[in-house]
Amino acid sequence: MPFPVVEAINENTLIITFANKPSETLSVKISRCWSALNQEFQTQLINAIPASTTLMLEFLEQHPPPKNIETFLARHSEDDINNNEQTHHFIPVYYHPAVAPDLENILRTCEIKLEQLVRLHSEKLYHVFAVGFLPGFAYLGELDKRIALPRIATPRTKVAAGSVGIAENITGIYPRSSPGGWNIIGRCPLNLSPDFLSSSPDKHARMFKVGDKVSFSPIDKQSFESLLTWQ
Amino acid sequence: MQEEKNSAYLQINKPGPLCTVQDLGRKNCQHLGLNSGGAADLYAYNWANHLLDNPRGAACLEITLGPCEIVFNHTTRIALCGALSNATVGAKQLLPWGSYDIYPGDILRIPIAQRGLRFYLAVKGGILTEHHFSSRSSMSMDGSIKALAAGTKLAYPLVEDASKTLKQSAHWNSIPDYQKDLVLRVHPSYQYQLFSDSCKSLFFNSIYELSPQCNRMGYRLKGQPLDWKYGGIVSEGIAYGAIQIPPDGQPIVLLNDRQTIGGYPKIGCIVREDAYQLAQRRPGQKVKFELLVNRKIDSPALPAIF
Repeated sequence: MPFPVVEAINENTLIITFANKPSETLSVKISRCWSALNQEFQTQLINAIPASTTLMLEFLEQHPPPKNIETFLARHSEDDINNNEQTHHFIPVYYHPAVAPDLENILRTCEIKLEQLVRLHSEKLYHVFAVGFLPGFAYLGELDKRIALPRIATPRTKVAAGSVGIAENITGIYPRSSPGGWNIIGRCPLNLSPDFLSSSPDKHARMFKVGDKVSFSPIDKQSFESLLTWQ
Repeated sequence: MQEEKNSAYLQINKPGPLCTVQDLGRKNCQHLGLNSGGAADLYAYNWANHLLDNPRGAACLEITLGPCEIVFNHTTRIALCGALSNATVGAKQLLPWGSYDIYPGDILRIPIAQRGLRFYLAVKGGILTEHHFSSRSSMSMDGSIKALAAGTKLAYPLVEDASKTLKQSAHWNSIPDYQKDLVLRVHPSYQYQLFSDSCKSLFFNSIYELSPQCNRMGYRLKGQPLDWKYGGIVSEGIAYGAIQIPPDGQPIVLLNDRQTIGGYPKIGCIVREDAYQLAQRRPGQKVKFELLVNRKIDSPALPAIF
């Protein structure tokens, strides 16, 4: 089946599938198509959910015929689409067993030293593949294969806010305390929980969107504590 | 709320288990992981606004189950639709799905619902709370639903003489029977084609019971478990009415306050109007699924303006 494929989900919702597997170039492509479709269907489109391989579009009334969207996407090659909305987020992380319950276990399983894990995790540029699970929770890919691990067998009933986790080939930060099953390797001292009641939450500096870039910078205990007091 | 002497407001004396402000729901928010909220039964909600000639999308109170008590400080007109109970204003008994004049000091009492689950209380001109993402639907800072507490005051527009307009009530055959077993029509979308024929046949020939885990996020059903052979899928957007099949095989129909994305397979999506009726059902009631043929949907018995 040639991609992208556009299918109807219900009376007013369509889903576009761009590929079978997620990738960094794909998330940028999906983000660009989303912007273009947003401009084209402004008033009719009430919600859009970009994810790692798909883009779901919810329309106010009946959705347009899937063929129309396919034609629109074919007409707009990626290069035509202007998009300056991709933000680069820099996230400080304190990698230490005191704030990361799974850290020592991971070092044993992967047979690596802490310095090595910190390098593998923080020297990579990540892209936001999807946002969800919790409001403000970003799925960041792709993680280095050497530290890609399955979720823990029994999810924790409480993971602390700011915890940086890994699961399969994805990493992410818990914006608030929540139950969760990801391997926790560090903690970010910044408050990443979105304030949806603020006047323009969409413009919030730390609001992740699909296609955005994310970098982690390792910090020591002293910086972690000083940044915590800034909250 | 600003408590100026001249403003009209209602005060919630008793909210019941869950009382919220709702309208057509938030827009352009789901890409942030924030659900759209909105009235769970848009059919009853639209009728309540229609009975008052309110503009489309005027904010109403969604009152779950009851009992609920509300006092008004200023003349207005109200309409109460959705669940049925012996609601009163002072000594006056209210007929179901009707509109009524309100005078300063009037107290609306809604006992526990006898049929259905959610009441929609519309006020002339709509309830006036802050907008977030083009909606007044009740929300906390973190995006979760915010239940209104006892003592909450909500403003509504000043109306000098509401009784000048014609009093209206819904015709009896526009009021749904919430006791009836419900048939949910299914769009064969998402991973529908990947479920086996025997699994689909089981799905459409079974009767499912609503489990105790039914709320504005979704309705969990109990019945024949459905088998899915392929494990998790790449997380994708979840549409209103999507039928998710988790590893235990028991379907979950996802409603207004659902997660925005998820990695469980979905066997399709139910028709919007059927989801409104589902939101009025209670644990223990029965539902059945029916394949939507030719994607043809009979138009619902809604007034023409909607």
